[in-house]
Amino acid sequence: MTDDNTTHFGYEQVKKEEKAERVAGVFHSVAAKYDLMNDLMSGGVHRLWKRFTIDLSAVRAGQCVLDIAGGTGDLAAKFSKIVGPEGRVVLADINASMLNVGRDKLTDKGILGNIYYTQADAQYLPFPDNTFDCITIAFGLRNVTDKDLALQSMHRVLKPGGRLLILEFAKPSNPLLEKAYDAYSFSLLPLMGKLVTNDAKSYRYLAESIRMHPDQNTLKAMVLEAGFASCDYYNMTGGVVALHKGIKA
Amino acid sequence: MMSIDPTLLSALAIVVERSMNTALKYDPASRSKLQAIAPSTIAIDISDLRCQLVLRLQNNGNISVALYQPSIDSQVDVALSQADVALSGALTDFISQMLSSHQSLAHAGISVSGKVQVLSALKDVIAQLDIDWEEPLVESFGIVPGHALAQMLRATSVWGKSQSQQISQWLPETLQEELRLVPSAIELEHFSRGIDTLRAATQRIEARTQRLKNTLLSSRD
Repeated sequence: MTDDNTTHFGYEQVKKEEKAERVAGVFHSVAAKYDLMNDLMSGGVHRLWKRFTIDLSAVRAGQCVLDIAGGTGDLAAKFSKIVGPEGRVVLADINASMLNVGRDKLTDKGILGNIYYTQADAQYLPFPDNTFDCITIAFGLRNVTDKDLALQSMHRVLKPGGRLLILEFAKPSNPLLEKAYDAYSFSLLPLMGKLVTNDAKSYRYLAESIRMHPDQNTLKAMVLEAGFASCDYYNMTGGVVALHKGIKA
Repeated sequence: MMSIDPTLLSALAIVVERSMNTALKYDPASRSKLQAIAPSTIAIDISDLRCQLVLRLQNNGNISVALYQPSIDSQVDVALSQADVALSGALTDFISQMLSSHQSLAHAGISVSGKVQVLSALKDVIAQLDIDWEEPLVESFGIVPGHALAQMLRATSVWGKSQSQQISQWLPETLQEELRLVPSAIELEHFSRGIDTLRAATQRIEARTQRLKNTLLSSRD
């Protein structure tokens, strides 16, 4: 963020009030083939990153979980099985198209009963204080206009002792890997986007938004600033992705 | 020790989990025995690899597997301390125990804490695991070829077991009696008695020599 009223949309500077709409446009465009593109772009590795997130969440039967920017429901589906009929999973996304795809997908798989769908903005979560045992946000935080506000909102709705898990693209720890990753992101991803979804622009935004997202230590400081008692992060795949875990006191 | 990329840990956990659950799918009896002790959590601390394996037995008979690196996360430590059974030891100790026919963990180099009856039940399930390999073969190759292949595998397994038993019977005899590469217990005992006798005689000579020296020295004075 530079000027008071502007923020970044990829490499472009836009007014803050416009960012959400621009991001919405991207995700309305990619929603239908979102899962396919995730598999293609990451070679299926995104499933391993999400698996680690679930393992580290320490969610148990009967607990209450909020999956923000949950989109097509990968994490919510797994949490639904873990929390069982006594627990609750809320799948929240600001984008109606993504939420519809997620709801249809999970319902078709027979995952229902303990799962609820909410169109909500991560900056202004519509839940009472101290509601959730665990909150996850996977590859969604970088699209939020005011990340500090969103982190404070998540802190509010977490129970004391609750866990916040932020899975997001990060800065690779190896310079060589970083160069290869840049080449892949800016050349191959838009090409894949054009071939599969006929939308190279959205996947260029993806690559740019990753570069504009805070690095691991900066995000850790932001989580602590939001009021969390502790925050650690774990680099995965050489730092291409990082999982931040914050605990509310 | 270097920390392992969590991506690799997750991949390994998925492979182990799917293998276990696929095996259980073809052994319904073992699966229902696991359901009897579910839900339970078994935490295995592999100390030399600095890695922790957590097995969660679920009510539906499935097992979920998670792999962690220790003390990178206090919540993980809390979860491990809340496990129904916790085992700790080196990887080689765990492998030796799995291959051994002894059921007891005494002198195995593995420490155990928690509900030992859960561990006993799990060990019984593993010992009595009887996977019906014919079913997956039939699913893959068809009824007739699958059955024929399963028969061949059973025959090979029976032959392998009988060969293994025969080898364990004739190998010591061959090494000792025919090839004379290894001495027998009686020969070893005779040899060690000879060593003991030689040691005692050497000590007596040493004592006498010392006494003579002392006598010579005192007579000069």
